Amino acid sequence: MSGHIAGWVWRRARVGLMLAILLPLLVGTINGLAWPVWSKEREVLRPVLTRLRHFVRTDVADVDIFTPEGAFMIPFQHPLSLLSCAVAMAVLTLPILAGERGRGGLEILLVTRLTRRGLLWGVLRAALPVALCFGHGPLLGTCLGAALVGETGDLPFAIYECMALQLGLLAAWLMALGILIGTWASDGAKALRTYVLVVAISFVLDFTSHAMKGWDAIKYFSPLGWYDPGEMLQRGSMVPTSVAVLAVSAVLMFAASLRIADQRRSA
Amino acid sequence: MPLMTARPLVEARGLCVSLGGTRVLDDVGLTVSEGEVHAFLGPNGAGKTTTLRVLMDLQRPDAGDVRLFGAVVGAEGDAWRGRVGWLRGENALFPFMRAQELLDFLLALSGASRSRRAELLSIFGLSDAVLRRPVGSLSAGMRQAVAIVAALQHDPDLLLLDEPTNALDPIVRARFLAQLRILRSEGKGILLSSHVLEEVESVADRITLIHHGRVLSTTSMGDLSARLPRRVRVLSTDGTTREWIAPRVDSVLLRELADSNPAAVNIEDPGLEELFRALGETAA
Repeated sequence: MSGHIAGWVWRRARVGLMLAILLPLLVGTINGLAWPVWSKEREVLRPVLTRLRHFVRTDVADVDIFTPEGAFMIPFQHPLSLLSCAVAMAVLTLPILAGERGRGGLEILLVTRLTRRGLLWGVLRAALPVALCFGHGPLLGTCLGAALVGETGDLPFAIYECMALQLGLLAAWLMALGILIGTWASDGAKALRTYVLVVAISFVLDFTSHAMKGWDAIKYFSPLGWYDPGEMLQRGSMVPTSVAVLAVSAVLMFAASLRIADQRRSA
Repeated sequence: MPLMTARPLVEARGLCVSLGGTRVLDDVGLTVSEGEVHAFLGPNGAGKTTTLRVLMDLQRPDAGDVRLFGAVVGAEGDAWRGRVGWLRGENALFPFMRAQELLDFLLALSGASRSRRAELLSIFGLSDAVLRRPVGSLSAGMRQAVAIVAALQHDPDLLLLDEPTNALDPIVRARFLAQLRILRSEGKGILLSSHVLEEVESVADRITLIHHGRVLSTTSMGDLSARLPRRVRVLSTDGTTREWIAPRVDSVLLRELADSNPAAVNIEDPGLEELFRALGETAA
């Protein structure tokens, strides 16, 4: 049953999903192409870029974005990559759940053998693989960019794979958020407003924690605070605490969604 | 199939629903049995759609309970799922899917082992060319026909139809009503929500009238006909015409007719509209 729903979800979301997945791939490729070609210009702009790097969350002191390793890490935490991640997960969850509830489409499904919980499991089955694979967009872009500029030898691709998996986990967190809000909201517009608000607050908290000295701790109130490629690059591995926090909170949000679905008075 | 021995497929008792602080259903109850077409009649906003949504567990009631096929909906599992055909009043089919794809998808979700689709497509004149088109590009009538096929294709035992003939042309409407009679003869239970009075009269065995969320009356069509007021038109010998609504044909009516020197008398067949108007005004 959930397989049919997963197919339907992909069918419904395919255009938005393709666009959202292509963006991080392009960011990675363009970053790879631009890094060596514009090296002189970048050196001239170093003071400006050093200030701007707060926007791309590369404030970890030991990661120098002017090295190949640091530069090829950028696609994993570029705002466009994170934004497209949030958009992809919204596309896969909000219109399917809250949007169809608002226009009456869910009623057509929920009078078949499909239950309210079955619907959520179906959406999960469609969205989770996409979420977990999502981080490989920047990775593919990085690989492509690195290959095009001949920087394939010394780059730590194993760590980039870890970053890709961690970005996938962040996407899964956003997916769980989308399912939670989609289950709760009465229509697509309300769901979208709520989702945008939560994601915007997450971005603001994360940016503030990086941009303002002494505010580091507030990043942990945002899922983005638990996703830090720079720290992974430093450690040479994934950060278990971050993995655990993102995974457990995503599972809890999905469990809450199942409960809300059961308790909703209106399907 | 005689109604007395037929098994009830739907049993709803004491349904109360409030939405946004407004009481939408107030102590609504009804039954639908095997081999019965039960019409559910009321004006827009009377509570028909909400009642049907409660029956399908799409809306949880504040009070009351629903049994489908003998099991309490919600509390005793989902055994009814896949045995019910549901047609929404507002067509909400997925516009991005091709009609064929949509029917396949819904049939798969119903888990049906057999399908009446081919027969239904023929009845409703849906060709392969139509089925290849996205639902969103179909005319309102074709979309409604696709929705009807989707509701019936898995050969459900119970049909809950909310304003099913919306947007259908007269020919397709007649075919649809004929199909309902066939389904009834096969022992299916049908709850037909409508405000199109003529079609209800032509197929219903029993009728429930609902107004402002309250059931005004549930009766068989035969009993209802006996209770319906008559519209009496008299053309007098002096050329004047008189018209009045008479509750029944009795000695009082006959005396009035005699006193009016009739040249011609026309007693019209009862219409549900008269009864509904009378009951509605009483309830209001």
